[in-house]
Amino acid sequence: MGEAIMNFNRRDILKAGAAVSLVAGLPRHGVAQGAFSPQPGAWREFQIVTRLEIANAKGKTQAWIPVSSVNEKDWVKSSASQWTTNGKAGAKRDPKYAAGLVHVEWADEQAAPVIEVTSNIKVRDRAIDLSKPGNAEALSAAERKLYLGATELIPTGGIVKETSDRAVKGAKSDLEKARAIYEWVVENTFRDAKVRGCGIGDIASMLKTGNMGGKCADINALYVGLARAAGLPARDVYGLRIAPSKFGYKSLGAGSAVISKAQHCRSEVYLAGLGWVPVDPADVRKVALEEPPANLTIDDPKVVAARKVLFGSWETNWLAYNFAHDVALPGSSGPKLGFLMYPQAETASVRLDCLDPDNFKYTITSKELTAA
Amino acid sequence: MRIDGPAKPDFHLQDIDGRNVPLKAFKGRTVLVHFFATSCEPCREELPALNRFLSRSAANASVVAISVAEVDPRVKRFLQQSPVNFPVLLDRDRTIAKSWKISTLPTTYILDANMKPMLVVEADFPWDKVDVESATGKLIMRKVR
Repeated sequence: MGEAIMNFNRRDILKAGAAVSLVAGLPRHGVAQGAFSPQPGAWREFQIVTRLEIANAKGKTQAWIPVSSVNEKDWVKSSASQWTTNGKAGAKRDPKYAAGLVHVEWADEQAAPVIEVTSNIKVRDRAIDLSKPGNAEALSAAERKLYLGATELIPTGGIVKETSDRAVKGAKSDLEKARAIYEWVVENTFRDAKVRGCGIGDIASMLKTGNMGGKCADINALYVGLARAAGLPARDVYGLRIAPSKFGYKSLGAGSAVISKAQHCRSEVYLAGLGWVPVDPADVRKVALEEPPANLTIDDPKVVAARKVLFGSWETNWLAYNFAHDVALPGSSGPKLGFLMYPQAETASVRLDCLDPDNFKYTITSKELTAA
Repeated sequence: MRIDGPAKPDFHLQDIDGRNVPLKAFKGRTVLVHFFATSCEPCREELPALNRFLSRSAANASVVAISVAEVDPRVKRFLQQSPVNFPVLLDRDRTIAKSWKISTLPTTYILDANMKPMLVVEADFPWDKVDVESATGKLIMRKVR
């Protein structure tokens, strides 16, 4: 069935709304590295250090470092951050999403601007028993509005609504809708080499161009947008991988103590009785693309195993920065960020390229503090 | 390609040197308004072809490229490696791309001398195969031997 879908024209798939659950009925093969089954267990404590240096600073120079600012009693506890710097720094929060960051400003003549931010967090794995809705705290009206609303990169009308309607067709409950959208995203977010051209960064253009093989922020934003269009509160959770996967998935963990490039966005959908349910269709695609020997098919046992688990569970070898969209950096006159998951900096009021190692150097390290 | 009718919203954007450039600066002859991103592979391939197009057509047409949602240093670094002879403007927050209803990169609008859209190409295009007709300002296929 999976192979047949992949042979259809991409736009035909979008029109037909082919949202199928392939999990049931496939053979249960054991994954070589052991069963992938995150369960809430002992808390793990980590210390995260972010060091940022600005080369070629000119005039007014400032930077913003995202810090873990999510606190959920079942799986993540974020402590206040400490820092050392030759500038002037303070902790700030985005007013809409309470996204935490450290904002630092340096004097115009400051040579070699630098800051080092240290944050401690505690995390443990999550697994929601989807068959047993309980008394999860209800969303407030304000939260419901926030997590159903559109953002700059996540419109919820037009082609997004049309795609969502097709994806959830036949689903009778919110849980079925949430899962149908998850399966649709897993099925359709692969890079088709025949599709040339790119979107402009939002999920509508992703759907219009058929260029569906984006990064985690693109794929999980697509999940969030389709869910919101279906009336399900949903949110991106922007964060960072901080440790290897204990289940042996090389693609789903940090490969070393240096995690400067280990940013990872996940998503959650709110379901009555269950609360915020963790999902991560982007990681299913990452397993398919990168888990050795790489370029696995959608019915490879490793992919199947990840797909089963990543609707309702997360291995939390990962910290959560925030849920924020359309972030205005305090003190900046530059454009808002679609999301805040990387350190940001400006010099002479020009936003620097956070992917340019020559001029914008930052290192993020992770150290586990959990007692053995 | 398709014909695209109503006038497009005016804009003022900064170029990579910080100068404000209005759309109306290009009024008076055919202008190609080209939306791109350095991160998009077909865009990177198309810009040199647009440069060659301009070399052939400079008497009859202009080209202006608009980088969508990129930081200045990234665009500058790209242009240092692949310089072009037309203005490159910065639509840092996608405002212009959205007002022009751009959803695909690259996209090129061809406006006539009065800024009226004649054509839109929502894909990469072989600009080495077209010229601008001097009498009408319209695109014509080149006779390539």
